[in-house]
Amino acid sequence: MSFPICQPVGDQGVLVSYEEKIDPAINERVRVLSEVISGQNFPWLEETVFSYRSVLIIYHPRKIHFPQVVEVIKTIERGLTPAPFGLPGIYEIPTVYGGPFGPDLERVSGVTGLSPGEVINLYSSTVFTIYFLGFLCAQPYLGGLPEKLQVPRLDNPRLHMLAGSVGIGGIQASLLTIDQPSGHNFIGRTFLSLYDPRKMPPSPLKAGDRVVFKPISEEEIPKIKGKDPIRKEKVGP
Amino acid sequence: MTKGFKIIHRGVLTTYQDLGRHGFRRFGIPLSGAMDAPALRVANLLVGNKETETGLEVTLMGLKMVALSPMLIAVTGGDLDFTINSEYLPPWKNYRLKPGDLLHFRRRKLGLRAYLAVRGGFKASAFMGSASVFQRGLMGDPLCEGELLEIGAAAQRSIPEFEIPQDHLPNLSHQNLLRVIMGPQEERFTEKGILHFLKGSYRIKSQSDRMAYRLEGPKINHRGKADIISEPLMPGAIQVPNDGAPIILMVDGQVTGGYAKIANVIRADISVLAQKIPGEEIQFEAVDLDRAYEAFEQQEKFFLWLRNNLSLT
Repeated sequence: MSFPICQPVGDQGVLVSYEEKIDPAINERVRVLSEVISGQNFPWLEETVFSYRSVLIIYHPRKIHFPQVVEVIKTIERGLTPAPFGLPGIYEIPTVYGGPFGPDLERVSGVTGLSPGEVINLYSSTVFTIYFLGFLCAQPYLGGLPEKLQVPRLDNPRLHMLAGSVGIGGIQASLLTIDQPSGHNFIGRTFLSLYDPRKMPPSPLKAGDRVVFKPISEEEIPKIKGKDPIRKEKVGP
Repeated sequence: MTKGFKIIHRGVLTTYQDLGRHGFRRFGIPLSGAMDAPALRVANLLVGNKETETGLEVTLMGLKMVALSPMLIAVTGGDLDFTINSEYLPPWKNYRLKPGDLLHFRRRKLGLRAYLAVRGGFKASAFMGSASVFQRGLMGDPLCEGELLEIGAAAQRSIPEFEIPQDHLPNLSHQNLLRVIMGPQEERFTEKGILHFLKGSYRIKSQSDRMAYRLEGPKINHRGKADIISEPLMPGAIQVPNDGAPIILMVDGQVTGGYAKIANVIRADISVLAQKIPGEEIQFEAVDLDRAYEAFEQQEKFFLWLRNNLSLT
């Protein structure tokens, strides 16, 4: 099979998919394709959304039909050049680990065989990459979780986890932007503002950015509450 | 701005809705907007508004409010036993109000969601260019008791009294067959699973809302795992988790998801589902893209007809 493949999503979408894996290079190509298409101001284009390895192109069925959309996509895809983006930001997310802020720290410690301190050290020294913003309300999908920290989701998801919760769900790391039910293992919480519908964009983070969950003490919460993530330094491509 | 209404009773769920937020799904912001978008568009046209104007989506029953000034309104969508001063008035029609008139949606008779548009539109806080309430995303709240609803200035153009004739009504509440385009993960289901999906009848479960409709019926079996690498999806997507029971995403649904999708409901039929209540049964029919485009074209022809008849073109 030659990638990408294009499939109809109902009568208003085209799903463009690459190899079935979570991979930074594939994700980069997806991101570029999505940005290039949405930058063309096609009159038939409603919007584009991308995730790990796929882009959804939403079109207006009275202005264009599926085969023509696919033709446009294939032409653009063949001519793609490397990322037109600026250098990604690396952001510090101050995080209070354990206790009431990380109800699953003990469980993660138990499953991994690491002490709670080692879990925190390993997690907070990892540089995570944001593959895309999705689900609901600018939730970042984070790649880069060390294998040692991969812990299966809970059998019974919690019905209400708070915005700012930081955790682990299988091979993914998670950072909640709004209150929601979740089956992830939460080991800490940040008090930064990660989603504000009155701002544009509604999230200070974007796909391609790197994030680090820096440990802070409970006493430091007032200093960071409601603030934006702190941009640390630029990292090379 | 003028004071339009005061809420006496909030009802089960009443929210401001327009035709949704466009262009923000890449930030994980759902489309939102009226669940039965054609019904809201008709309501707006019947009062001389643009189709995109903000109206009220009244769910199930209970909304009671009093008019504070003379207004032209239209009610469309489900028949929720709408009354003005206790007199029953059918939907798909415009009505003139005088101050003091008491409006009440008493109980569900047909469908689930009624739309009320007012000439000039409702003035509600907009987020990302839309007043559609999406509470989980911190964008507005349902109406509450005592709330005053403000309306905007209307363009000066007279609108005739108008009722959509029965035979022209969009076929919103009477059909149980939803047309679908198969895929994009049809190959992840067994032949038997696909057969169940296309021949079976599915009952709408009570845990159904503006985010998703959950269904139960003949099990839709997977060939392997139900999980896929999370990918973008849109309203109408029919996800099937491990238990084999389908979930249809609606307008407030998530923007990315990790369950295999057997099919997508076509655009013209999403509003049909929006008028279904838990307990009702639906079936699916696979169609090709040309039939889907044709169905959408038919719906738009109705709007062309309506605009012509209201001399709005």
